[in-house]
Amino acid sequence: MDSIKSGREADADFSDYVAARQHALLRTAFVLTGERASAEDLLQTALAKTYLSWSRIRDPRAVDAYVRKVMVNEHTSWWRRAWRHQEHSTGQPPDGVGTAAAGSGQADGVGERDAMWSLVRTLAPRQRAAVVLRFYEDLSEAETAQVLGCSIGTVKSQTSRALASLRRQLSEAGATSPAGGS
Amino acid sequence: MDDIATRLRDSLHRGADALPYAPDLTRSAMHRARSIQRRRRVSAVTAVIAVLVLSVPAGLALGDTVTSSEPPVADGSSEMTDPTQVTIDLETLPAGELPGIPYRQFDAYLFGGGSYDLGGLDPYEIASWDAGAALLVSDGAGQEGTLFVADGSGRPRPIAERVDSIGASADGAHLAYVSGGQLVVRDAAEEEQAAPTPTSVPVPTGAEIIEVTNEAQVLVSPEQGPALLLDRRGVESRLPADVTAWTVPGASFLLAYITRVDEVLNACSAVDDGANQVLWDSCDWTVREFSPDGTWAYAVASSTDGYGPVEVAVLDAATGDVVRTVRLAAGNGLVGTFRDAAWESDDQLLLRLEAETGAGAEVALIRLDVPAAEVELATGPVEVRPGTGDSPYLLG
Repeated sequence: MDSIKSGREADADFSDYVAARQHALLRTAFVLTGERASAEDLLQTALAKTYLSWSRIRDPRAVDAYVRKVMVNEHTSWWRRAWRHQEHSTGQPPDGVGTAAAGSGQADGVGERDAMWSLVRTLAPRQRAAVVLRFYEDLSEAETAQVLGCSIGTVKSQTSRALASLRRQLSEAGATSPAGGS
Repeated sequence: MDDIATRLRDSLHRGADALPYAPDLTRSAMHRARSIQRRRRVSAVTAVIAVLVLSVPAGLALGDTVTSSEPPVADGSSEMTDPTQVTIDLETLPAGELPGIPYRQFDAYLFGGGSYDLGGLDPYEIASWDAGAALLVSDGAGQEGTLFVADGSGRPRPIAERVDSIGASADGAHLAYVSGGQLVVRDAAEEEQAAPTPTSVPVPTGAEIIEVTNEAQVLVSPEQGPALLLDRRGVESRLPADVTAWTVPGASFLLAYITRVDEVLNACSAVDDGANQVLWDSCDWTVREFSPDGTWAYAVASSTDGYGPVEVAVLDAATGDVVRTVRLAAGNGLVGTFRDAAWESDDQLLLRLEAETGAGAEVALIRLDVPAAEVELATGPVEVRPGTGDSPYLLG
């Protein structure tokens, strides 16, 4: 009975955690993927993997970091998979991750109105993850490095390249997007 | 914070704010978790079945009954002498521990105790010793470079110019390099002194460092003529030409070298030089590095197309038998080239793999466990420009 009881307790703890943190985590997934359907799928996968590791995550304060890490890794791996399944004829990596409709950003009501939002989706997944963690989650460089599993120097270079890319693309587009400058 | 960063932050928050609440994901996440768990169990059972099938003695015909009281006995030695092809599927490769030996990752040199910033340098070769990381950086002309040492105390400092080969001893006590026809040996213990006194001895033109021993002997292979084993006083022993690998496991040592068989064919021979005995020859594989204990030999195909090996092997160092071959899984449009390798332990080999299409390339460090015939991801993959020689990773 003990194991059943502890299993039920663990399930209850997990449910409480999801209820409390789901929306915040979904927002992070959304800025990572840029698509609501993909975001829900990404978060569901990350929560499933977290559930499987629930008994091993001893520090409740570490759960968010764990879920974030799974989401970033999973998103990168989706992107890679999608990239490999392309014909590579254009040399361009796929935008978004997988099968969600390309126009779902419009359905979410944010995509086309914000030039910057659209450009973030053109970044390579590691660069996108770096800017999301640094500028959306407000993580420090060290915390970002922890989530990405790389050195602080790499976080700096990924972030710097991402910002340079955004700056260049905005400049090339004339930086005239009405919503881009907010 | 600059304008772009501010606009980026605003944009991300505005986008996230537009997201409506989603239904509770708890149940669907648990459901997916159980599905993942089932898949893992099926995979594990499949793997066990595969092992059992491999372990069934060859004389057993299909349909023969194996009772539980007579389990098939796996003969460990014969299993290890059967070459096993290991394929790397980057999509399903499990993630393992980060490399246990020093390596370069983009702008950082990472080792067990921390990391050093490379200060914007882009080394093409790294050697690790107790005084830091020795970085060989191209000077943009010819094949020589400038040698820097990064020790975490600031920007890496240059210690020698016109260097064309470097090496460090396994215990990290000695660094050797060839510069301007001189072989220079430095001791880590003396580096903290105000004026360290490296020793140098003349070497033939184009000499390449193959190995540095813990006793500060250096095996160099000149462009022409036999290899030389030099100590820091210049006393030398001549060895067979074109030595490719060398190791000192215990009292004896193994040596692998290339000899020309005919106009087009070379053979790699392994010699137990302690016993002065040729152990085996191979025309198919060229040994690059013995495992630390001298049990295995990492080897690349003797005939390649010039773009680098797409298949590598681990041989039994004593017999030359191929025990493992490794290549990238076919069928996904990627060409996998092995750029480098280093032994992480007696049984584990780290391979630097570049997986390339016409449009892009990824580089990863892959760990091969030789006895288990298993591979896992040590770090990466990360994207690089194909065919440029640039690599985010270097093994130290």
